[in-house]
Amino acid sequence: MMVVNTETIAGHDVVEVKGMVQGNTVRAKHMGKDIAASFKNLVGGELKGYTELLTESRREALARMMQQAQELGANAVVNVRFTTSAITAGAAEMMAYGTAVVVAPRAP
Amino acid sequence: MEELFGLVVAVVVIAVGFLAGRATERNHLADLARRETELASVRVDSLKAPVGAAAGAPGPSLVCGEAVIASDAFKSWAFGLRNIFGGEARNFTTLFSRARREATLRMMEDARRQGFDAVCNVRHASADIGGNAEASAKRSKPMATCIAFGTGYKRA
Repeated sequence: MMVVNTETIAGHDVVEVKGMVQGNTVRAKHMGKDIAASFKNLVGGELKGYTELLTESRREALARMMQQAQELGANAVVNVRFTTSAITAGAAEMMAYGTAVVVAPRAP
Repeated sequence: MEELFGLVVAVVVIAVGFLAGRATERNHLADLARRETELASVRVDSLKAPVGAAAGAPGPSLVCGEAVIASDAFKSWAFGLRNIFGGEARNFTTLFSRARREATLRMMEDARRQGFDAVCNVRHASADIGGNAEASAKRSKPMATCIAFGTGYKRA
């Protein structure tokens, strides 16, 4: 499955639009990482635990979005966007959405 | 006596934050500059479609990078002061640009890992992980969160 955030795919033609697909996830960080974060907020530096949380959330949201696209019979998702929202302290929602399409390689 | 002790602790915390935070920031900025030179061959733009993509190359694909950078005790304290008079909080401007450059670099590294040498349609997003939007100013832990993503492709 091809996933891009452009509207078209170079060298391919969109032959069918299947509709919008999305995937979301809400992930909580565990307390150990919170304690580490409190320390980091004293001396500065990267909050690696939080970065990992974002990476995992993004992968999960994308995977769910691709799952939906697959169910629709698409072979690509174009114009993918991410959005996040805060639910409560210590949890954030990550959502990926895009348009499921069927693409075919363009004849030369 | 107790108030004096509290004051001493606060001063020590801010001093540690200042020294450690400054060292962390300096190292990070040097690291960013080094990696940016290293990845200069990866072209990054915010155009809607790839320009000059190679025909028959491995298909374009989403590339992402994210970074969460914490403030330090000194920056947070200085912001408290800044908040009284208003104006630009330069400490936090720098903090955010560090997070953004780090996320962008990770996105470029992701592109290179997948064999691409260009990224188009780059977007930046942010997230409120610490729940700072709801926390009171006193309880909030300032941190800069950045997600960068775009479409990686191979140039002709």
